[in-house]
Parts: sequence; structure tokens; C-alpha cells
Amino acid sequence: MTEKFKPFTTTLLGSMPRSEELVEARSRQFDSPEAHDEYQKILRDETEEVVRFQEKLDLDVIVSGELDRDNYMSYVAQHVPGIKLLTMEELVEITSTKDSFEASLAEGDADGTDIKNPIVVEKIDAQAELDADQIANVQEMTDRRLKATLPSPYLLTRSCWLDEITADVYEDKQALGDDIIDLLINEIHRLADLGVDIIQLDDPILSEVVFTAASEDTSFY
Amino acid sequence: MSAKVKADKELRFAQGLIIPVLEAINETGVTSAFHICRGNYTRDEDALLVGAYDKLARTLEKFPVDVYMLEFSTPRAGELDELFYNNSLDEKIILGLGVINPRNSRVETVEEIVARAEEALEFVPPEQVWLNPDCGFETFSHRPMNPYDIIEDKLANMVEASKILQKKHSK
Repeated sequence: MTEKFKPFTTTLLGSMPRSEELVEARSRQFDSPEAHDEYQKILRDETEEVVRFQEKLDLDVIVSGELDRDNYMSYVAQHVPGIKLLTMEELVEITSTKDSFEASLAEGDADGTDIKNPIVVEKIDAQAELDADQIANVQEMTDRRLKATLPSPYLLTRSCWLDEITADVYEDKQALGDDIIDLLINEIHRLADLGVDIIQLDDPILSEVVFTAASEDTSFY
Repeated sequence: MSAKVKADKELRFAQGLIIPVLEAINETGVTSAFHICRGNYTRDEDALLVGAYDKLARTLEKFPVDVYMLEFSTPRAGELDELFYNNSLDEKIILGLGVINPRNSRVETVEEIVARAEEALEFVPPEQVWLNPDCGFETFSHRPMNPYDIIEDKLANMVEASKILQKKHSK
């Protein structure tokens, strides 16, 4: 049991709202070197605002706000060769489960237009750095304790697997899972070397295994 | 295949992936945390998953983790006794108790946060209780669950509750 934190330690889970300006600048970041620099500046400035916000409130452990992430899991596609972002429309085209997929979306109140799915299309590069650089930035901004977040290996393996594509690259989900484990452990070593205090794995689908009917094969996550 | 067999098999697969990664965190000496939620993409509570943690407790017991960051601000998550019922979690984990609902604009009062944390003290001592929101405030880019002024009010109450609890329950 860890003794270095005081009772009733306060911290956030991870993500904080991004501004319109940041989201737009991110979508343009690869247009030109100037656009890239502009995005990096906005990202850094807003991350610093998120850090100051937490300090002002006197939260014990600081998070980055995950502003550079499209979402808590799809961001891996930005960083890892072998994982590609597909839109819901592209997924529906590839898979033949259109009706049940759309029904699942409707039930979940999530219209698919703004959410992209990371899908493994080639063998992944497990050496790829995720976003430890964002934590390094935050570390320069505050003396407080830091928490970094990573998607759970189960979440990534299950979500990035698409039979129609991934089964041509990996023998089975376990084989992909082994590479995902390596990818995450490499990132954990980077984060530990930076000196973060907590590393949190996020898993919103483990609960789905026990809380929804197991017959529902296709779902929002 | 029955639903139960399928779920058990899936949980075993999940454990096989999650345990080595948690062990890797622990080997570095960094505190490990695991966050489980039931969806955070809508303010419509009825669209999100429902279920107490008891169904997962056997799995949670097997994970080599220091802190569980869990949702407890909504009735969807069940009650605390369901998490700790008939297992040893109370002896080995810090409970990151979700006391703030990121998906609504009602600001939780200091009193209710203190009361919720004190319910947790019926199962674990003060050094095993942390306070946090149930989930992130913008899990998906472009789907903010709350504006910053509401978030600020909610978190200010959470921090104040933490300070009151520290004073009241310090050794």
C-alpha cells in the first residue's frame, strides 16, 4: 500500500475540455510547418491553463488534461504506426453489421459523425512513443505530483481489432494483445523515467463485459 | 455458448492483458491506478451502463494495483457495500471514490461529499480513501460534459470536503 499520499488525496480522472481554437488548430497541424508550430503553441498554452486551474483549486495530483488527445483511446493512432483512424462510415462500409451497429449507436446516444475508431491495419510498432512528451511539458509547469493516464491494454486490443482487416495481420486477439502490452510497457518506462507519481490505466469496456448482455457483439466501444 | 461462459472467458482474456501492464508499473516504483467506468459520452444517464461493482469484484481482486478510481456519484454504480462484499479488497486497495458527476451541472455540496466519503470509511481507513470525479470532463474531443465555471464550482467543493475530512479524521 502506498504511503506517500495523504488521506483524501484529490485528483482528476484525466480529460478536460478543449477550446474550439485548439480543436481547429489540431485539425490543421499537418498542413504546414507554421500550422504545426501554431498548434503546438496553443496546446502548450492551454495545457498550462489547465495546470494553473488545478493548482488554483489546490488539487493534490495534477493531470495534463489530455488536450492533445482526440479521445482517450483513438489518440494512439496519431502516434503508433500500424494503427489507423477509421470513421464510423468507413467501418460500416467494411463490416456487414450495419443495422446492429447503427442501432447500438442510437441506443448509446452517440452519433458517430465526430468519433473515429483506431483500427490495427498492420503490425504495430511497439517502440512508438505515445504522449509522454505532454507529461514532460506539464512537469516543467508545476512542482506538484503528476498523474499520467494510458488506455488499458484490454480496451486497446478489443477496440483496435476489426476482423475484416486485423485478422490478416495478427493471428488472433492475443497476438495483438501481446504487442499492445509491449507498447504500453515501453511508454510506462518513459513515464517512470520522467518521474511521474501515478500511472492510471483507463478501462470503460471491462464493465461492459459483465453489465450488458453478452449476446451484443457490436457496440459503441 | 451461454452468456456467463462467454463473459468469464472474456474476463480471463482481459486479465491476461491487464495484469502484466500493472506489474510493469509496480516494478518502476510508480503508484498504479486503474479506472473503470460505464460510459462518459452523454448527459443522458439512462443511456449509460448500469451495474454494481460486485459483479467485477472477483476480477478486481486479482489485479496488482494500488488505487481503483471508481464511479460512485450516480446510482448506476451501485453502493459501496456491493464493491467490498465478501472479498479482500478493503485490505489492499486505495479507493479513488467518485464523488463528482462530470455529466450534470448540479454542484455537489461539501456536506454530501463529506457524507459519501464517510460511508467509505465504514469499509476502509482514511489513508485508503481519495476523492475524484467519476470520469473525465471531456472524454471525447468536442463533447464537453460541462463548462469550466461549473467544473470549478464542483471541484472547489471536492477540495474543501477533502480538507474537512483530513481535519476530522487525522490520527
